[in-house]
Amino acid sequence: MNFDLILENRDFFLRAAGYAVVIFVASTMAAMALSLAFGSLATVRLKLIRMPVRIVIEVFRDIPQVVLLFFIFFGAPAFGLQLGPLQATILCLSLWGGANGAEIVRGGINAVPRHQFESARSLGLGSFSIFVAIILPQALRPVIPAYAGLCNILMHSTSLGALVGVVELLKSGQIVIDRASYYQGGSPGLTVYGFILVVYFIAGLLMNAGIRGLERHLGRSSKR
Amino acid sequence: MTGIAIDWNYFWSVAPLFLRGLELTLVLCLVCNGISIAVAYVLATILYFRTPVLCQLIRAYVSLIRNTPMLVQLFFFYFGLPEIGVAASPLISGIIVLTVWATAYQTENIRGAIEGLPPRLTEAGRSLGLRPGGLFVFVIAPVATRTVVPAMMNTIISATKNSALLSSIGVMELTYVAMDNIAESYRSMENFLALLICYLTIVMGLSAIVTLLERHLGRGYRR
Repeated sequence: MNFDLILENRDFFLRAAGYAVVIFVASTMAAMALSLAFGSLATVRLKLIRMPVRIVIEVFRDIPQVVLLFFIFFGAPAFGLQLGPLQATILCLSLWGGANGAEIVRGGINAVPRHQFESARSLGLGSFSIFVAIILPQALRPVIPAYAGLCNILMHSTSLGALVGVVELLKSGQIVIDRASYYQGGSPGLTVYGFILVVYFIAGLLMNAGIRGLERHLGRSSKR
Repeated sequence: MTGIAIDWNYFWSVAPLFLRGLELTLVLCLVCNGISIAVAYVLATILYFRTPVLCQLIRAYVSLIRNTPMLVQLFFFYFGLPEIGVAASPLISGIIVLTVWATAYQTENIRGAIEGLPPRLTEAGRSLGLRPGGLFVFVIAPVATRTVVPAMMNTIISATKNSALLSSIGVMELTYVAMDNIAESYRSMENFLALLICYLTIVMGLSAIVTLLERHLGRGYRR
């Protein structure tokens, strides 16, 4: 165990952590937009729209993230799309998160009691404003814990970027280990990977604390 | 570039390779999930009886595994632990990491189910003269098992999908086979199509089992 190795490379690790954060933030944002759009579309009454959307969601949910990532990274050129490792990782996590989030949003919308819709209609609201102002706010609040779980998985999944060559935490660890074993001999795998585990663990704890705070905040406003 | 056109001759020629990969993925799924559910029941029992020390250890283990990416755990085990003399082949390492990962999630599932049971169940059992051990074996565990099934099946499906990560340390399961074929022949579409079919079959098969099990277990309540 040599902790000096971590300290020596702290700038490198920080930059790598920055990449992980970029992947996480970008894909969470995109996934949120996608899951709102597709989750809503999956509850449309028109079967012609609903069924294809639900099939797409199901397919994206059923394949492992790594496979989706490899498909986007190695398969996209066949569709005339050249993506760098970073873009591919963000796109993969956005699509995967979007599909899983859509399923969560769909569940939330379906759980809103029917009479909410009927009451809004009898007040003379149009379909669109019923959906945006009545259904959606009630649908989204109860699904926050499930969505938070999804965000947690997305945070862990940023490590998949290492497999296609994004220098995020895991890849930076690999590089540091390779470098150290080349110049200093021995292999410090235990220290470096242990350190990365600890970083993810702390980040996870912080995020959970943040989510709990958010839930308490939102729970308070609904109790009014 | 092969383009989007699919060469069916090639597709069928790699089918035997994929079948072997599929076999290993299914074996991984069976072995890891089987062991993890069995161990998770033991751990959840220890948590239920609040055994000192062991209880804290299990809680630490569960939160450590659930709060870190499985890929990092895998690398830690496969590339890190040989440093202190714990080394295993890729397959064994993969099975151990996947099992340890799934056990943490299953333990949490069972613990959650047990804690979600109404307290009157315990009170009723006590008033019938059951001791804590008997209460757990005859009342708490069977009833909790009923409610835990959907969560448990979700974890089984996740674990099966996560077995794809094992390809990164060289376990020759489905994803490894596909990536190996692509590296050899540059035919990505055919291999990804085969991969998609295999995983969809596995996950949809498992989902069908979930639906059947839920119907079967729900029957008792409707009486």
